[in-house]
Amino acid sequence: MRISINVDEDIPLFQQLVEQVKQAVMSGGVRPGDALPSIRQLANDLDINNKTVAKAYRMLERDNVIETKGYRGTFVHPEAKSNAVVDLTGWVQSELTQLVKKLKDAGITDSEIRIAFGDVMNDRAIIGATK
Amino acid sequence: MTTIIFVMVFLTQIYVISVYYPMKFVRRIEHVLLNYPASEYPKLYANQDPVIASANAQKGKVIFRNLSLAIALLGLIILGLNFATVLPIGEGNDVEQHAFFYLLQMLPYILLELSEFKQMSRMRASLEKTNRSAELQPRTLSNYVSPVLVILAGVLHVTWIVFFLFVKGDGDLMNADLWDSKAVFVVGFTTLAQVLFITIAMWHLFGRKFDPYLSDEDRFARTKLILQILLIASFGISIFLSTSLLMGQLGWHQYRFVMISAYLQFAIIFGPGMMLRRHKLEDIDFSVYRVG
Repeated sequence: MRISINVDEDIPLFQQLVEQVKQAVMSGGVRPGDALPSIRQLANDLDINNKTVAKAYRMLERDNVIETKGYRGTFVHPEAKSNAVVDLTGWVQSELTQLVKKLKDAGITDSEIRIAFGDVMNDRAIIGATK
Repeated sequence: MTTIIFVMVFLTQIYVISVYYPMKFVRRIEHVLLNYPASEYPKLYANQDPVIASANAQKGKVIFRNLSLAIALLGLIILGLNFATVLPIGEGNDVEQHAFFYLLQMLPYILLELSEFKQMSRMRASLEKTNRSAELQPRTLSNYVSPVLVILAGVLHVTWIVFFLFVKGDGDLMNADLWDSKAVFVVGFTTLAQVLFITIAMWHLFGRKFDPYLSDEDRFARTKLILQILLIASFGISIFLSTSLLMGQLGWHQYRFVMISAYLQFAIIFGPGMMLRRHKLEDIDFSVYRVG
């Protein structure tokens, strides 16, 4: 099973890789339990940075599409086929869209939302609340 | 008798290493330049200006050919000096002569390899491929060579070391005491050679693509061939060293140069020679180097 990426596309490379691996799982190109190439091998074959492949593998592992078994390598997760259809990035987008709409309806300005979002992401809101 | 054998072996060494295979390489380069010119296959020449690319390739070919032939001529002069008794035969200096001359014979091959390495670096630097693809399955050594042979190569190396360290005899190498500086040097040096083979094998298996445009089938064939050559080289070193020790044991010192020359010719026949025989130009997909 081959995967391909386009370095000129606007979509980040790690995201293209995640999508390609998920598509390979859904199409049956790779099956649960199949071994996947090492980060180094895939990065060298695609002529991209190791960190990009490592990031894609981390995201696929978080989504339970792949699993790492120590020194034995990386394998397709037993539940990969059902997990590959779960789009966590899409879910985050939809959740945030709803939340932002709710905040805007309440009269909160864009900049206030951005500042509050930044504070939450950087744990500043929690620190401020505990003072 | 020793003189006849010496002359025959030395002449064969000159012909095989400095005439026969260099001419084969020259014909291969000429075939590529003629059938796959820089104007139609720019990627093969790292997208250099076609005129400059062709001129550089021609220049490299002429240097390789002339250097090889000059070394062959030097070999004949050395042989002539042997007959003029300036360099006596069969008095122990044959081995040193062979070693020095072989290093000289290897020079054109080293230059050729360096030039290929440089060319591939240029090709990687000028890579314009925006669509890149890869196989979603791991590569392992067993995809290319039999694991049994790899284990056997390791066993042979250990066997040679045991033979060298624990079997005592009259040969030059045999007189080394366990862990004296000579033993450490010889064992260390040969082990280092084996480690180098493993490193090259790993680099070809998992490293960056040597030629970024090569098709998957050609890459697989090339990697398989390189790993096979490395395996043969590993076997060759262990067998050569063990045989040298055995010859020392048997007191056949006067034939050591025959053994060394045979090994050196074997190294060329199963190294660059095997590459020429098995990696044929007509089997390579050159369309990957075309424009677009």
